[in-house]
Amino acid sequence: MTNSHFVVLIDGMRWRVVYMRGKRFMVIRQVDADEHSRHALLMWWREFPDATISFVTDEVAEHYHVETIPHVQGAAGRQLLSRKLAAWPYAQGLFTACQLDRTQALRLEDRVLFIALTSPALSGWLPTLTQNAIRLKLICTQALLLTCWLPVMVPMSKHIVCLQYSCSGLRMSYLKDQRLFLSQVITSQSLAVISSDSKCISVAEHIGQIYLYCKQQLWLNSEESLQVLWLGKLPNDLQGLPHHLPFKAAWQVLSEHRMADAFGQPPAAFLSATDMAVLHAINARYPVPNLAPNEALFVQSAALAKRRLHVAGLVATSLILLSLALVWHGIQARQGLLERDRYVLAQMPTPDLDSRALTQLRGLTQTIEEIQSSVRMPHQALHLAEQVLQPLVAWQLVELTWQLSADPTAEVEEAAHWQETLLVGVQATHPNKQAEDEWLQMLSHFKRLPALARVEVVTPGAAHIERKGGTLPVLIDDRPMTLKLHFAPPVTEDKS
Amino acid sequence: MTLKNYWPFLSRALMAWLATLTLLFLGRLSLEHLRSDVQQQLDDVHGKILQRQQQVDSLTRAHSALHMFHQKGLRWQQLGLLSPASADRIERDLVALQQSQSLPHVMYEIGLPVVCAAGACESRWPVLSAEAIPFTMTPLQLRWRVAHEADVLKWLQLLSEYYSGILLVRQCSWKHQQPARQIEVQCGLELFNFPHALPAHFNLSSLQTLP
Repeated sequence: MTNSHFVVLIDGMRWRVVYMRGKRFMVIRQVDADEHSRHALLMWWREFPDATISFVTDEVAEHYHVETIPHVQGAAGRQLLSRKLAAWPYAQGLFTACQLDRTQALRLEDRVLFIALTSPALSGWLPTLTQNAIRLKLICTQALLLTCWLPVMVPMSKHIVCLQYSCSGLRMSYLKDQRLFLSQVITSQSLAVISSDSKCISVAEHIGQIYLYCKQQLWLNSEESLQVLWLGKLPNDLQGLPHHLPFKAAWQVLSEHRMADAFGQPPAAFLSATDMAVLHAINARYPVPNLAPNEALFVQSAALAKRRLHVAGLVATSLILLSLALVWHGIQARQGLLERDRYVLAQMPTPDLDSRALTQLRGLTQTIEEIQSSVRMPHQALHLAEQVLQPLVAWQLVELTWQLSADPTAEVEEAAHWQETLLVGVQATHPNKQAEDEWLQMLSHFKRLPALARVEVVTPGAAHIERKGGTLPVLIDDRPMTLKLHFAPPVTEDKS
Repeated sequence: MTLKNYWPFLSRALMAWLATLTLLFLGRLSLEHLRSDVQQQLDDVHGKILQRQQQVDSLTRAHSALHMFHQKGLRWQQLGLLSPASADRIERDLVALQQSQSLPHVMYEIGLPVVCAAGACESRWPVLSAEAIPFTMTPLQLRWRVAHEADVLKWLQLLSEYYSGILLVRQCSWKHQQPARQIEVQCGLELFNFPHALPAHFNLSSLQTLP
């Protein structure tokens, strides 16, 4: 998209057309304002459909009027302004209004500047421009643009009157607080026939009239001073103007040389330093009142709307594409994870044992281990019996019976309550005193063994009798005697 | 200026952008659908991995028991402890043991196996197990005629080792025969078999894949 821009400086019947691309001057032409020239201009502009057109006028037929209206907000305020503007006789064709400031007297009031340009040639040409899709951007006056570029050049006082020569004549503009309140032209014809001193006096009188008008309008008071600023080269016949000013004013000349330093040398002879300042203000896109009617701005506003539509579409498309890229990236990442997890799953061992089978196996293993741990052999019992009986000479072993059986006294059937017993059947070889002693010795020996929990003498045929005996010494005869040895349960290790 | 004035200028661009954005939006929707589909697959695989991990963890926790079972299970299987009781097998084992170890001859009586379902043989069962494992109990009566009481102990020790300790000696009696100076020994044993203790379709070799 090119930043092509045509600026038409209208000064009386002289049209100077500046074609710029950005801040670069491409073509500068000076054309007449007749219909033929305008047609040629139109044909030229049609070669640049993207270029925008701005008109900056310095015409005698420019009208400025400050209207004070009550401050009303919203649509009612706009309607009031429209009514006031409609009542202004110059509000036909090219006109607009802009707010200057707000005052508080008896009521809150807005000061609004009405601007109008009576230029049948220009206003009559605008429909043609619209029909040819020429993108009109701005119609403005040089006086309005003063507020844009003048503060860059000189320190501005509160009240300032700018004087500037042009083809139309001498333009005098009053600015208050860097806002244009008034602008008028003393035509060249009215100044051409008088002498130098008379010209100075005449101009000074006009300045004095502006001063009095401002005081009358209460824009400035007697205590405030007025700055008079001459733009450009001061003509020889007006060199004495500062001495004819009817009031004490600060006189200052802003030379073309200074303006050229600030805004560049004019690239063509028919462009002045002031024109360069105007072009600078146009390029800098200062917000200035636009005199162009809405119908004439339609092409540009439609182009702007289309541009904004494209920008919005591009932004939306970019966002959706970005989200698409993010989603696609997410999908790729997830697919990568999926492949990795599938690989991990394939590499994981696949035990074909379910929990039920596992429980079954664990139960079997536990059962077999418990059986193994509960197995008891008669080795210990036999060894103990041999250890006790071997020294005996009066007794001989008849029978040994080792048994592992459930403890009938135990309430719960479990391994710890299984009882190991050994029945020792012995017979005295010679029933004598030695046999009696050895019997007692044997009993004592068995009872001392820690592996035995209990030792009892079993009497045949006395199953229902818990114990049988006498206070007499043990009677030993040749009948077999039986001892029942109850082994202590094995000590289980506390696994906790 | 109203929207109606702008419509002829903007309509084509507007429609073009609307079409473009609609297509892109549809593409976005389809990609979103694809993403949710992939996410669903990912969740499924995660679920399977978690389930498999839980199985492996469960097996790891039971590792010691299974490891022991894997080590001894094959031996038990060879000895027939995991098969139904067989008198032929016991007889063959006794003969082989006597001949290989030069042990005293033994007379044996192999009783009929008693099938004990869960809890049916509590009085004969030497352990209190949390799991009711069905088993068969085979009574075995052995008789020797030996010169010394301890001669039988080697028999019993070797039998116990041979059957990996899954053999219960219930009772033993030694009777001295005075004239012959010999000892009549009789022992009552019980052999346990677990023919239906293994899970269905269980293969011992599968335990080799355990972590």
